[in-house]
Amino acid sequence: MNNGNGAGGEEALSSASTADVRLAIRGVSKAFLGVQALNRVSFDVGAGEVLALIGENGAGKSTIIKILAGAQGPDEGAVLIDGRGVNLSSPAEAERHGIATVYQEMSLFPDLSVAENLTFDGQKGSAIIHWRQARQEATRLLADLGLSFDVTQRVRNLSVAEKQMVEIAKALRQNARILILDEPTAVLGGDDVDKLLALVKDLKRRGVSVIFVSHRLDEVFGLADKYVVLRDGVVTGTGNIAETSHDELVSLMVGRQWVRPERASGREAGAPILTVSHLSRAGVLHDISFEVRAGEVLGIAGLRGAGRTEVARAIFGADPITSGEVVVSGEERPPSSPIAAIRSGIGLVPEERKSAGLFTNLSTMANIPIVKTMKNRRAWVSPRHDRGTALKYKETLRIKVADVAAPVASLSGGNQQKVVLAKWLEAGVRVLILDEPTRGIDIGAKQEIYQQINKLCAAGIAVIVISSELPEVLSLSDRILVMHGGAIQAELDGPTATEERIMYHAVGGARS
Amino acid sequence: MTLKSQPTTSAAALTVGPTPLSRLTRNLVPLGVGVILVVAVAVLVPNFFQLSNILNVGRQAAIVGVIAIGVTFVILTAGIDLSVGAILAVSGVTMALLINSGTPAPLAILAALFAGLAIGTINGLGAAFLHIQPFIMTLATMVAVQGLSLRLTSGGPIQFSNDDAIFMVMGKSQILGLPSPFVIFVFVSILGILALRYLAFGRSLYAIGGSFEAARLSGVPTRRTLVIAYGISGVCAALAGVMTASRLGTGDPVAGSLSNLDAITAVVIGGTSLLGGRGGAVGTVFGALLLAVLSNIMNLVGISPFDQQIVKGVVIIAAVLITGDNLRQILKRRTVS
Repeated sequence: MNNGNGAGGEEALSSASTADVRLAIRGVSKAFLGVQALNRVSFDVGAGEVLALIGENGAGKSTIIKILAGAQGPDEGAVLIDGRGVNLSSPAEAERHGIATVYQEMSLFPDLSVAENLTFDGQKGSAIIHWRQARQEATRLLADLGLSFDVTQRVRNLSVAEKQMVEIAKALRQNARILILDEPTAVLGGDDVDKLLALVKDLKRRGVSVIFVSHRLDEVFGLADKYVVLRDGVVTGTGNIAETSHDELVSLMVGRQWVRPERASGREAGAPILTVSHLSRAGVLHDISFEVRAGEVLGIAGLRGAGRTEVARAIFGADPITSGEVVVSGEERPPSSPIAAIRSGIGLVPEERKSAGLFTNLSTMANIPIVKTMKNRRAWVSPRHDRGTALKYKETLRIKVADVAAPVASLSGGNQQKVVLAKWLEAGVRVLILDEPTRGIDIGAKQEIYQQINKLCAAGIAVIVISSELPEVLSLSDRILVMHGGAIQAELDGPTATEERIMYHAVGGARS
Repeated sequence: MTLKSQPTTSAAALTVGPTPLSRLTRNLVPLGVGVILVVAVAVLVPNFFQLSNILNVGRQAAIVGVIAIGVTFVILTAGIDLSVGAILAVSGVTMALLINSGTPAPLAILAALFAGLAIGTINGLGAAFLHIQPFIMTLATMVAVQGLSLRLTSGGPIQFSNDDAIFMVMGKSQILGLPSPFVIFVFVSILGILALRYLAFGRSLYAIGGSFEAARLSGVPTRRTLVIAYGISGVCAALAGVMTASRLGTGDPVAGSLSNLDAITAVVIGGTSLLGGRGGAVGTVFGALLLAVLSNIMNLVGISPFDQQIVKGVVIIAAVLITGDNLRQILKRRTVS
């Protein structure tokens, strides 16, 4: 850290002389478990400037934010404020340097009042809470943002937009000069978005520097002065918003032309197995209709929050739906519960592997047969038979497990995912939905999962793959649905789709 | 031996293992502690090994043990049952009142067991369908059922004639030279161990305790399983109530006031995690025996009942540290930093 400061201090002299740069990031790198999340990232934010930080999921935006918020330290590189190197070793340090962060997941206490939330640690050093003073202080903070609402009400009862305003008021409490907003509009509806954007513009006029993370490019064009595009931890483009275009930003986000790997050729889809009609869930999914055929892979792409996982869960009966119909091979079935979905032949490999995909407290041999046991309403389990089953899948899926009786918590991510896959293979499925099937697993295991998906297809199973990794969606899918805002934005033909076209639709399509 | 086996045991404790070996290692810690205790006692308290005393230990372990086996089912789902002591009392009272009103003994016993089943089922319905936290739900039934017992008896114990053969079997006689409550405990333990091991229901308990969401997405009938688990806990507590009342010839509305805590203690000492999904009935058997041995030794040595409670408290903490991951993690952190 100290080296960083020294080196940064010298460098500051040269860069700070050019303009009134408030925040400068110089050559920041960060690796997690050998994965390079950020690689020598540098950019500036001027006083009263709005910088749009954009990139695909996993491009490194969150890591930058965490470093600026003092939640994580960089491996190398320096952060400069007003030309001076700063050591953001803790959130308190970051706050002291005038950096305020509003995360996507709200950090308010829902059962405390607005006033309590706004002054929670503002009264440090005093053992007694001065209620009247706290209320006045809170009212003043809100008034500063042009807001007026009852500060004695519980945060739980506020609308999402109001909560966010409180969050911003809280962030600005310490006279923050740099405000970081992490996808602030992702959870807001139309009017609220406008209010928020107006607020940001007002802050900008008051000289606050804003780093604005967003997936919605139309907002970026309406609000930002400058942009920084990250891809795989590297800055792929930066400049003035006025001098770029929607298409250029998309191609900077996606970067390389993806070279398609050899795909299983001559794959022919059979009869429709799963038909989803007009599936809706209030506020989450809007009129989703599609079908998947036997022996076909349907990819579902979209940015985080676009509703991909929600579609999978709705089909599987894991979440309630408002209206719509799910038909498996001609048998109409209300998607009422996971067990009903399982009995009709649907399987789900969920996104949250460890908490929803398998039982980390149980062994490989206890995990694999569990769906089949429940599906067939079996009363008994046979440890000896389970062991045989586990050894069979250990062989065919090449699960690297020393002892099938040991808890799966000790397996690597890739091997855990194979156990999840084995659960469904053992139960027998006609439709298998895989949600982020290769997230966080190594390349070797990835390839094996891909092979299994192709095998399932060859066996006439309808497969749905949801993935944030566009190359993965492109190389696996026969057809691709692109989701945006809880609706299907486009359907693309797999073999001819490109990352650019997917991203174009994923960020909201032709609106710009 | 105990120390050496520590890391492997905590790891193996997570397993629903098939091999006798893993079953053995899973219970090595309580077993090891028990062995050490017994050897120490053999030297220090020679009276302990008299047959009459050993049988007495078995009898003492039986009541808490039967309750604890039932509570194990609930704790495996990451739940808790605080109402077992109250159920013990109300089932004894129910039986006493029915006997005195001329009901045949077998019917009275069945009615008492049914009362336990009903209360347990109410616990399960509240936890599974109304999403009331098990702690609160069973606390509420505990209070209400205690009140019910007092109301039924107007606050005093109900004497009844326990000369019927079935009461002898339930509480007073010996079977094959062993105290009958101990034989019942053995029988219930075997049923519990087999159910957790060989029934899909047992597997479901571990699944729910491991991850409720994963269980739901794997097609486990989560609600039904929870209701049955609490029902079993209720029936076991009621059986313990029948055993207690049969032995004493009394339905006491304040019997078993500490049984819920003793039962939970036995489960925890036996290595079943309060977080759910880990442990099992074998550990609970050892836990119950360990508690009984400890009380017995302290009685023999002449430690006052007050001091005995203090020792018990210390033993609980020691047992949890040895069987759980806490100690290992703290030690690991130490060595790292």
